[in-house]
Amino acid sequence: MVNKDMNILIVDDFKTMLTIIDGVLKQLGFKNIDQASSGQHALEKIKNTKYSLILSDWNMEPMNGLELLKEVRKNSETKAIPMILITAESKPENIIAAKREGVSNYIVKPFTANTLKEKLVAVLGNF
Amino acid sequence: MERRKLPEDSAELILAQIELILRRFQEISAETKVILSPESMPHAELQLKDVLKTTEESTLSILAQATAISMALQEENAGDALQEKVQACVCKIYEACSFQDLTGQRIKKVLGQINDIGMHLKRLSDIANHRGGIPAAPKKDPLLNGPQLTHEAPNQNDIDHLFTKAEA
Repeated sequence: MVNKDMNILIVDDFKTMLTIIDGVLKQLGFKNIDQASSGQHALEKIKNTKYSLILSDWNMEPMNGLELLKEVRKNSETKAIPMILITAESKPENIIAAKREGVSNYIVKPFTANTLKEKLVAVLGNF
Repeated sequence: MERRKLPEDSAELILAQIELILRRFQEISAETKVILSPESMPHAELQLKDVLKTTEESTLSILAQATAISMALQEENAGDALQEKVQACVCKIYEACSFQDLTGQRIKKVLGQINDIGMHLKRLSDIANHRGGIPAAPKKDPLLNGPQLTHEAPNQNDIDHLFTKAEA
């Protein structure tokens, strides 16, 4: 059974998107949600907190979501953390590149709360 | 910035730069439905930045109120059926507000193109004054294209299909 007290990190350079994802996760019962505004900012948080899930946008600066994914997968302490990209980047080459780097799942914007829940279940298990 | 040696035939180079600028104007006009001229560019940039800022502020305000409604029901111990109904509506509000993220990304893309035009104009003026050669155009990440046009963008089912087929 999924532990809803797990630490989750959401990463996006748009405040409104961080607020939306945070709100939906809280409606689903998750409580400990941290936010970061770029891949670089996320990496700094990851150094100090053990996250059980990362939800990240792709198109951000400095360090975009794909670069963040590569860093997370490169490090033996973080490589097993499930990471879902939530992004407007939707060309086949984006999906291929993300999968090659070890993304756990891929959500295209705009998305529904049901889609987010479905992908969380796919990655974490039922809750 | 990487610089390359100024070629001898500057006139041909100037024409190529003009062609590039005209193409950019056409791209922006197609996206924004607004005809841009070099004189209107700084004003256009300010207008777009203002749109970005005000839509963000309004959207955050809507989201805060939606969250407040949800919290108020919980605090007042409203019945389960009412809470469920309201939560469903709050969820729809969250989903609808994601428009601001996509709008913001489209505006950022157009702002980037306006900036490119400014750079091309500067290069033209540098060529005309034979100043220091021509800087090479900064390399763009081919994976960063931003949101596709609504009628062309794939839906989540299309993405799921591609994701399942793609190799890890």
